[in-house]
Amino acid sequence: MAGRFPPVVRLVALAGAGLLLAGFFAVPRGGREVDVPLTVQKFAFSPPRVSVAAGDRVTFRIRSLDITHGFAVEGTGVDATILPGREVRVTVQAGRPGKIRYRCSVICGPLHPFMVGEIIVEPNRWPLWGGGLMLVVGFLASAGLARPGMRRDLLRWRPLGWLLTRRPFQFALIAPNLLVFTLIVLAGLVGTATGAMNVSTIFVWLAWWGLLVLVLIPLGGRAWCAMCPLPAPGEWLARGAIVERRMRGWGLGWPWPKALRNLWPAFGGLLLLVLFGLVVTTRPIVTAALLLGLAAVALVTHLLFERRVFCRYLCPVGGLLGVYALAAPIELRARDLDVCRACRDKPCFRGGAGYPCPTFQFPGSGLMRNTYCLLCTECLKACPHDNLALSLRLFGADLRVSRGARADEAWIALLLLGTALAHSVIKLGPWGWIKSWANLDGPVEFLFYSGLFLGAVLGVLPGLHLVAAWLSRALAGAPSLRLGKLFVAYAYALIPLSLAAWMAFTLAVVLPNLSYIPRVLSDPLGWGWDLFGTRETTWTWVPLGLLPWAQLGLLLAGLWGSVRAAREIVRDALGEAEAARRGLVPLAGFLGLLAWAFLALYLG
Amino acid sequence: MAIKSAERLALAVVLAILVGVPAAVFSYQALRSRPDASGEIFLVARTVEHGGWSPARIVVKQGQTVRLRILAEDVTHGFQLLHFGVNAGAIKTGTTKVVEFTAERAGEFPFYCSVRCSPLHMALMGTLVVEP
Ligand code: SF4
Ligand code: SF4
Ligand SMILES: [Cu+2]
Ligand SMILES: [Cu+2]
Repeated sequence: MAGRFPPVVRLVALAGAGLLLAGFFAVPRGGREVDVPLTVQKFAFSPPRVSVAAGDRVTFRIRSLDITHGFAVEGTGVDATILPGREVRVTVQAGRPGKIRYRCSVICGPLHPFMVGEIIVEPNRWPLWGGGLMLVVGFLASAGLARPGMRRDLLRWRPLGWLLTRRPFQFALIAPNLLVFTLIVLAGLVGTATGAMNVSTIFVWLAWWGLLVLVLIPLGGRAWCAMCPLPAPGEWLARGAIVERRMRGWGLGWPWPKALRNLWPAFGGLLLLVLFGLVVTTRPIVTAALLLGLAAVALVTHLLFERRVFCRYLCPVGGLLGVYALAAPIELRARDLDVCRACRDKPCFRGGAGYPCPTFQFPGSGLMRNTYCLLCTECLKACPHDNLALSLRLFGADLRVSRGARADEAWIALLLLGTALAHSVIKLGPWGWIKSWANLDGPVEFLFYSGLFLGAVLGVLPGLHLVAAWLSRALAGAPSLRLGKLFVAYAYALIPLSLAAWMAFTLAVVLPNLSYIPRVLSDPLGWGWDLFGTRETTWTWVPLGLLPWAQLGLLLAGLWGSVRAAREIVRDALGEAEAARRGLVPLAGFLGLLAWAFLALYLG
Repeated sequence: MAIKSAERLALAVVLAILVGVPAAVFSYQALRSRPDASGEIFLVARTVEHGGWSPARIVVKQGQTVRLRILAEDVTHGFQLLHFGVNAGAIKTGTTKVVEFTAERAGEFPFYCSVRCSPLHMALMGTLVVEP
């Protein structure tokens, strides 16, 4: 053990353990009565943050400066309505140290779901001992032994193999989503403009996004793409069939231009989407227009070009999914490459009993990483040798596959990480000014916001990443390596942490707002319907007390995954074992810093 | 010919979805807005910037018992019809309140929003017409 780690690493781990211990000796000293005048106004509380001591009783005297708002303390039954022109007093007991979040509980406009304020109950040791835990986890992750990659082929289970090779299988997945999609677009176009009451915004950005980030991506990678309704109409027209295999369709089948055979178009779309994220996610009409627009582009590309080039190169969601799918615990690969080599027609790639791979993957040799596999199951249907496996595997298995690392993917990984940070600040933070800037309130403010956002996401964060790569190269003593190559390779190490951060963010957005789902189920268009008697559901039983723990756990798991991936990636890039050990330190440090930044943002 | 029938079934499902969803939504809404036996009138409150009361003019017969179901659609509103002593108080966004009164006098009576809802709150006004 000794000598395996540079002394600095051991020191850092020791410091982490120290911080961890320190956290247990927090002494509350409160018991005061604290009086806080609080004004509310679209879409912020002022002051946005108050600091009190554990044991204090905080009495808010709340006045509204514009219209009716609410004041509800997350995870408790405290809920008051603040009518304009009347002062309301609410007393909150500051019990355990940590952060108490309160939010507006009366829909007051588009940004209402993100109208939050914070009470910091001192001594808040979350960032401190959470940081300590992170150091320890980071250290352990960089130290532990690598386990051999294990695989378990799910298709060996006959019923599943049978099911996935039925032609109507994919249609059966798409049809329910098409139904919801139709309702969403309709509601967005003709339903209420109040985002919190329209099924389009709630289902897309709460239900769909929540399920996608919390369940589908972590477990199934790109599985969404097998059931996505966006490209379906175009694909059906291009194929001239919905379920059957037809040899001649109606698409023109042009080849996609060479210059665009990369993820930069998807990167551009994603950048626009996250830049306007606050507007897109709160306006039903914008949500509907976005979905319709994507479906329209997909339709046109399907009719003009071959296969699913929209999903392969253009779709912003596809870019996101593709990058995160690398970390998913599932993969579709050939069982035996020798069988593929001997296979004359390569029907999985060229088409046979099934359609040719819609994203130009060839499981027989090219398919080493999940990024572009839509799990559409066509190759399963095409392969005459039953040579394909759908396997469970360890999380993050593809991250260490260095073959095929590309700048476009790396930049999407960086963009996603930066966006997770930025959106945590904008949507979960208590700062109203940045919300209104991001809300297109004024052109000048929006320009400022764009500058900030793009600067942080495309400038500062990649800059720090570059510094980490440079330091890694310097420490490893390998100046001949190309820095750009390291920059790209190392970006893959960010993926587990950024996925975990998105999960932590999404939990904090979805859980307190869950009750909107039964509401819009009863009244999808905000027209006063009450289909299931749930139009006025409210609840407070959601176990929000567990949220900080869940967030901490996710961030730790993400950090663990990232550092493990970093270890393999660094070793691959630097070659020599001793150099790799030194070269890992800056990257692992960068990852720890990032994880801590999220933690401080959520719990600090 | 099992092959063909799967394809046809899928096409039928797709068409049913694309046509059926809008058809279901609009016909349900049409069904709901038919004046039913109770004679309930559905009134939507929006800020003036977003269109104001809908309908802004309600016509009833003198002597009729009027039941209004009021939905606050965008932000919290109120409903006040002073001539008949009606004040619904605050109606929180997304919720409805029902008021009932008898239209004893004929004439035109203004009704207002009673909870500040926008800079143009004071202009959020509608008319109740009681026909003799
Ligand atoms: S790439 Fe986009 S459009 Fe294509 S299936 Fe995936 S999410 Fe849907
Ligand atoms: S590799 Fe197979 S499952 Fe993946 S996209 Fe291609 S055809 Fe579909
Ligand atoms: Cu509010
Ligand atoms: Cu008003």
